Amino acid sequence: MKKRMRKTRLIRAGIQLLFFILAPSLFSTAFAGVKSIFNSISQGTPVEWNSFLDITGILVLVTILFGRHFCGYACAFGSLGDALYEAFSWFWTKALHRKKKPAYPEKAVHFMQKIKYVILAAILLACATGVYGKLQGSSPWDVFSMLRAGRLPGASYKTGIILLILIMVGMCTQERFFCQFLCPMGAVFAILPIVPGALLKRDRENCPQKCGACKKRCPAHLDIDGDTSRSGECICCHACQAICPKQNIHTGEA
Amino acid sequence: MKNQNFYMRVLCLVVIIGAVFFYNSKTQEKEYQKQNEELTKRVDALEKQQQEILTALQENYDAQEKAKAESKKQEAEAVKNEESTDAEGTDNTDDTKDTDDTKNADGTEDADSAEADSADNVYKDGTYTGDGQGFGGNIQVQITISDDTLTDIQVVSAEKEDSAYLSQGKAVIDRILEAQSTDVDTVSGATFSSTGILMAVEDALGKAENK
Repeated sequence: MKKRMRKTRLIRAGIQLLFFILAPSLFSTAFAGVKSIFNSISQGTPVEWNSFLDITGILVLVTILFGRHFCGYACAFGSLGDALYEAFSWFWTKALHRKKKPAYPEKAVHFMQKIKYVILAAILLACATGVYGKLQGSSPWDVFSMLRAGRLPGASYKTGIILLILIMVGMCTQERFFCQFLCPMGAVFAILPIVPGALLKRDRENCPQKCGACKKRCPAHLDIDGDTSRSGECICCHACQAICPKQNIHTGEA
Repeated sequence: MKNQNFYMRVLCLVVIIGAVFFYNSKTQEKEYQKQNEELTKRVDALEKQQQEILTALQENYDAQEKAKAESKKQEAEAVKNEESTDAEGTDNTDDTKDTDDTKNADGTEDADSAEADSADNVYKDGTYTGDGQGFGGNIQVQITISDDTLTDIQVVSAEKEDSAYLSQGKAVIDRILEAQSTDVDTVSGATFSSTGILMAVEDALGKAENK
């Protein structure tokens, strides 16, 4: 079982690294597409298809058909979160010899998962009213992409830098901290209709009593039960599938 | 119901897409109305102009008639061998009036081109390249100037720009060409790429300046 878990983790890390190097700006480009719709509303012009919406369209389509695999495997910001969390966990357990990793209670996690919808609504409202243009320099994503491109953000990016640092601290405390609590693009993906066949399901009848390993392992504290009201939170990391001692978790209708 | 969350979300998505289409048709309607108003205004102006031209022609014609009548009077008074010179005289008046008319009609156009010409020789004709700082690195553009008009702007190289952002940023080129100035708004969402293109065009214009 350990071997299987290690294998899935390595494969995932490899794919994440590949996307981080080759297509690191997909997440912000996709969100720029969403913003462009609301920008044209603020200008009173018709919504026109543009090169940002190409990316948004592709990612939305992929998510509807196959689930949020983009979030789990391809998003550079999500990969950054994973890397930070892994590094911090290693430091915590190996260097500080603590046994238990810091974790939020399930209720708190479920509550905080709703914050991202507020952020999405706030950003889109700012776009639609034209306020967003004045907020230049406060986006942590801008700072991240600048650093990634090898540019030092200037003093006008102070808010963005502070936010990015806070987010990075948060990323250490909880797996996929930003993705489930704050990401506005994640909020878009989470409300998309995902084809039921693409969702992970658990064959509960064959589960040993009081196991629940999958739910404990899930970064989003999900009941892996297919189509539920919270199934949009699943970022398709497949950790539950790897940890299940009876291999009870599958995608597909069966 | 099985998969009820899925169907609810599909419904929401359809509603959102429908809302966007509805919004688009509304704004398009507004735009058509605007265009319609502009066109009617233009037609009105043209009709007015036509009327003016017609009255001018009428006046011209009346004047000619008068002249003819006068010449006929003169004819009656004058001796028969003076007829030929008279005919020439009327011809001459005709010609001058005609040229006056064409000058009047062309008057407005003349003023326009004169304005453009007043800034004459600010730039040398030809193609020039310039560089600007985009998001990831250098953006190089090539501009074409003829008769102090920016006729073409091409992005020659922008290796480190994200293609989606670059093609959005290129919208600034149309704005520059339309305004014939680099004092235009950058493209929201692609600020860096469009600023880079703007800077590159400014750089190229600097090279094209007649010193």
